[in-house]
Amino acid sequence: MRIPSGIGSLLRNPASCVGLIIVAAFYGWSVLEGLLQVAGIAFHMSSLGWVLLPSDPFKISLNQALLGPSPAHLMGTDDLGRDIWSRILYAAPVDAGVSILVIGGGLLVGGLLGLPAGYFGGLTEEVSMRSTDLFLAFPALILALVIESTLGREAIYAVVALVVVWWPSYARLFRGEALRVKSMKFIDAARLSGLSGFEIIRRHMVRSTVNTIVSYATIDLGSSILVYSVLSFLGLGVPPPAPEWGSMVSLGLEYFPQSWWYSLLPGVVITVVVIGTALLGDGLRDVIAGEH
Amino acid sequence: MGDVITVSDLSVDYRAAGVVHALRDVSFGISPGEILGVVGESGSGKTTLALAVSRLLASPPAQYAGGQILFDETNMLKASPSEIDSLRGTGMFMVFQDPMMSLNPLMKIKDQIIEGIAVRCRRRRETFDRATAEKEVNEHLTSVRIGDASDVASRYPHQLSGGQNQRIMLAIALAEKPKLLIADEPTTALDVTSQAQVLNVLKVIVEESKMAMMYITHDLVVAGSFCNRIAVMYGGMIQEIGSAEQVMRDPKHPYSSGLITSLPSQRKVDGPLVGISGTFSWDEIAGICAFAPRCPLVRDDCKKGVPALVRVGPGQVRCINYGEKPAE
Repeated sequence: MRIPSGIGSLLRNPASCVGLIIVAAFYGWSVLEGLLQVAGIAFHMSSLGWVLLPSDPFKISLNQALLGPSPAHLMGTDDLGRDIWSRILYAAPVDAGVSILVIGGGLLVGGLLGLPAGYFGGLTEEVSMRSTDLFLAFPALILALVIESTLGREAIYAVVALVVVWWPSYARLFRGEALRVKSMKFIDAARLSGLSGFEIIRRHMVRSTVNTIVSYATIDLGSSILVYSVLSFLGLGVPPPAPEWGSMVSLGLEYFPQSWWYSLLPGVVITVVVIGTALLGDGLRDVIAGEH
Repeated sequence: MGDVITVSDLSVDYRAAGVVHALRDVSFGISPGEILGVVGESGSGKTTLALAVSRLLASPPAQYAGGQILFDETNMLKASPSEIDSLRGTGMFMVFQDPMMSLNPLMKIKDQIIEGIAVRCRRRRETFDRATAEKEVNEHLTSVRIGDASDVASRYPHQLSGGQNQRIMLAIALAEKPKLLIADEPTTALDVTSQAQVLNVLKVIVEESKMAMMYITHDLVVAGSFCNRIAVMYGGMIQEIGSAEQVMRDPKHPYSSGLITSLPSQRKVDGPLVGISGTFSWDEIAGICAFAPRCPLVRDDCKKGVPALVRVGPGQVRCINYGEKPAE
């Protein structure tokens, strides 16, 4: 069978193995911690959100401010004496959720515009590809900043802003894939079976483009976390006191380089996750390319 | 006439660097339950004809240059894309030469056949439910002589042989029950035993469901035994059309007789293989009989214009020397 052998060759490559472990740990932890936080809100017991953490991520103890990494505080404490490692772990579900929603939204919008553009060509293609070009013409980060600062400082608005800048690259990718698949004989056969254009896209083209899209989207999960962190670094993420990776990096800069851990270690965590998705996506691409 | 499809004076050009008249004044009709064989060498326009009839020609470079295709009372050349969509599948269905490429490699066999069943149910306003459709899949697979129907149904195309995949395509044709089945060299990729099986299945389907069929092949032996009528194509034109028996026994056109004498089975075991001398070139045939450059009976008159398709006995032939056989 196809999928197990694919995973086998993925695991034989040490780099993609590392990527898989990082990505699985990040999303696995985020799901667990996210559920606890949601349960905490639902039952009015916010402490449920940090039962698994080394300490309470919101507890201020000024006498422990700016302590360096130690067995008690693995990544040290911030200017208010809060445990940085706990805050990083507490913030993970937001980043995971944002990355999934941004890439999911980008895939959805990009697919809806790109696949018909490639398959039908003509006016459909002109309209959707020229609007894609229009969005690509803006510098992505500035566009995202404008949108989010207009809508407000909420993670969900950050998702909207990022989807708006993210879909054009997927529209192009899907269009290219649609052009490739369209020339295959089984699409002619499907047309001759009497399927309409949209049925062919839904039933035949979507699954034929999955292989290429999956590896690309995996790498992009990391990139979207990076861009989201940039947004919150610039002060547009989750409002305080809720922790966020990007804003931690930004807040810690005030105490750099004396309290280097405050800014640097959250940055290292972002880097590790981004590299993890890149390694995994790269490995997936090799596996998929090897199959053809 | 009650023909399922009537093609009259169909011409198709390929326009790229220059113009190639890929089809010229092609006319024929096929009635229900009839198999028309379209025979010719590579490049004679057979596949272009199949694609032209099903409106699958990529345009550009292809361009309809005249004539009409009347299918089931619809003028195919004037129909809108959605009208054409609604004629495909249950109206006309096509089985391609390469079975491995015609099935979606990522879909299970049964899902691809069910797709055909779903189209048919929608068109005929039959109720569609998956459980009965799955049963129907097994029936179709059995009638195209696939053993272990339920096992094969849950496999993917790459797990099956070329012959099996070609029979799957025929099973889809059975599911759609089209009025016209176009088969473009459906047995070229098969070994002789599978070929015989597939042809037998096809023959039964055509007779039972009164389907009209256009069978494209370069194999004259198969065409002679399998088809009711044969159209011999050369240089984008029908050179001779008549009943299979007449074309095989008493070919009127020198090209048809050339094809028949080229059949290895008619020669002695140790005898030399005989072919038609020369090769086909589009550049040489403008305004003259397309076969003149290679014809053993060529006269000066042959190069004074394209001969008309004239009725000779029960068939029609496009040759000013009709009936004359090359001396052996």
